[in-house]
Amino acid sequence: MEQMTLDVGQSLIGAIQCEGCGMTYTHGEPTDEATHVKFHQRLLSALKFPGWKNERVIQEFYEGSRILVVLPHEKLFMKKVNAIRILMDEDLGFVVESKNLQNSKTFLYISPDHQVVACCVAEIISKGYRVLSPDSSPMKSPNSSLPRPWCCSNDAEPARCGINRIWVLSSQRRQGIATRLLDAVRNHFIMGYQLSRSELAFTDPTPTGKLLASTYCQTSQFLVYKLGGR
Amino acid sequence: MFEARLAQGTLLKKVLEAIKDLLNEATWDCNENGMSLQAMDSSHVSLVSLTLNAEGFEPYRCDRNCSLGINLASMSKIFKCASNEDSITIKAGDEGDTITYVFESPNGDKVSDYEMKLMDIETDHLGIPDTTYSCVVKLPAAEFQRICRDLSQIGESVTICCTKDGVRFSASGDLGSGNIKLAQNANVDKEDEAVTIEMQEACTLTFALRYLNFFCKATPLSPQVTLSMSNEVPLVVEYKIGEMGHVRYYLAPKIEDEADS
Repeated sequence: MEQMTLDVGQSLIGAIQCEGCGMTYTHGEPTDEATHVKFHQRLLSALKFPGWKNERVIQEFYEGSRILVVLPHEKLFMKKVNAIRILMDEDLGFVVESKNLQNSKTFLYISPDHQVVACCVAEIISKGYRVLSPDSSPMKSPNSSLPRPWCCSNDAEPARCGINRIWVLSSQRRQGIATRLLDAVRNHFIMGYQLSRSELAFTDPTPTGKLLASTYCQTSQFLVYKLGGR
Repeated sequence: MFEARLAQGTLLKKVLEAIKDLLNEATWDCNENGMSLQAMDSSHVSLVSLTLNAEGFEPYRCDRNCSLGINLASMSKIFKCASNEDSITIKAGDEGDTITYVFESPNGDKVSDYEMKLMDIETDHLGIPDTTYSCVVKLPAAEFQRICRDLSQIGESVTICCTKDGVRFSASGDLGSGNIKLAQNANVDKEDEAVTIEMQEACTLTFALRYLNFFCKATPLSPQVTLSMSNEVPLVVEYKIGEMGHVRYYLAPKIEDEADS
């Protein structure tokens, strides 16, 4: 037997999405509510960032946000970064734990209310491959609104900085945070050298990541590279 | 300014007992006609609709409509401080975020007052559709309470089957099953003990006993309870509060899971 619920025009009914953590759950369903509370707590505790004494701030913004950089040998700081990485990997759909982050720099975006809202891991690479534009792709999808298969060229091109992963908290998207992060990466990844947008390459992006990469590089034929191989 | 005095304070105490286990907090809407409350429990399976008419209070004064968000558990705790013979006065100013309860003993030599913080509760307007029910059963409230309590020993849900001859309550569980059948009897001498059935169409419905047991907390309010049912719509359990109002509980039925059958 299934217990029905009443619908008398209340605003909270059925599936609702939490504004804080972005989880969708059924209001009033005990197991759903409990799972949500657990998830919400875990997310908030991982994202909480009261600040570090000797943090390396590379950029500050007028509204109070700041960008930090963490190097892989800073063991204590990396603990926090790893907690964020787990969340980020779940969100982005990474299944393999990439162990080799020795040549990487992690950039954290801290909001004025002491939360990590975005994170970017950049690493040194030497070559990237250009994404083929959808028109030249042999497989044409009949419905253009659906994501269609896409591929990259076989010819390597020089690149200097690989965006291993970039992630913004779902409730904070569409505010230009990722763009700010990428600007900071370009300015601070290599000491004393400003990377140009064309020297960035991305790992296989998600649909929203692809949108970001093509907007940021001002071309839909941006560079990609394979995770792990450089 | 809102002020309402009830000489029979025990009635308000009983009302609180009837709703405080189902609802943690609720908004009392006060206007010139009286006080009312509508709220759902947190799981949205049941709804409570309570009305207390202005005529029942002496005096009743409500200068302008107001909504009082109240933590019912706290309110019930405070009302436990009132003796059964005391009169209860509820006061709330137009501005300010507190409500005051005054308890006066019958001969007026003891007056106690308690102040409580009001809450900001987000409330939706709940629209309860008017429905004509195919079966309306009236039975002694104590009898209904007994049935719900007994059957909750057997199982977690009760199937109510209403026919011309009577109404049958049945439950089954791990240890076995149980049936209680009440026949219609119109006892003229003892009106309070009558079982009456008004029926257009026979109906069979299943409900969670957990909620019915919460509803039975209203038993001291009224000698008789009215159950209104139609197939596949919520059940209404109504207790009259003397001449001054009523408390109605709506309960969503349990329906056979299509995947299981």
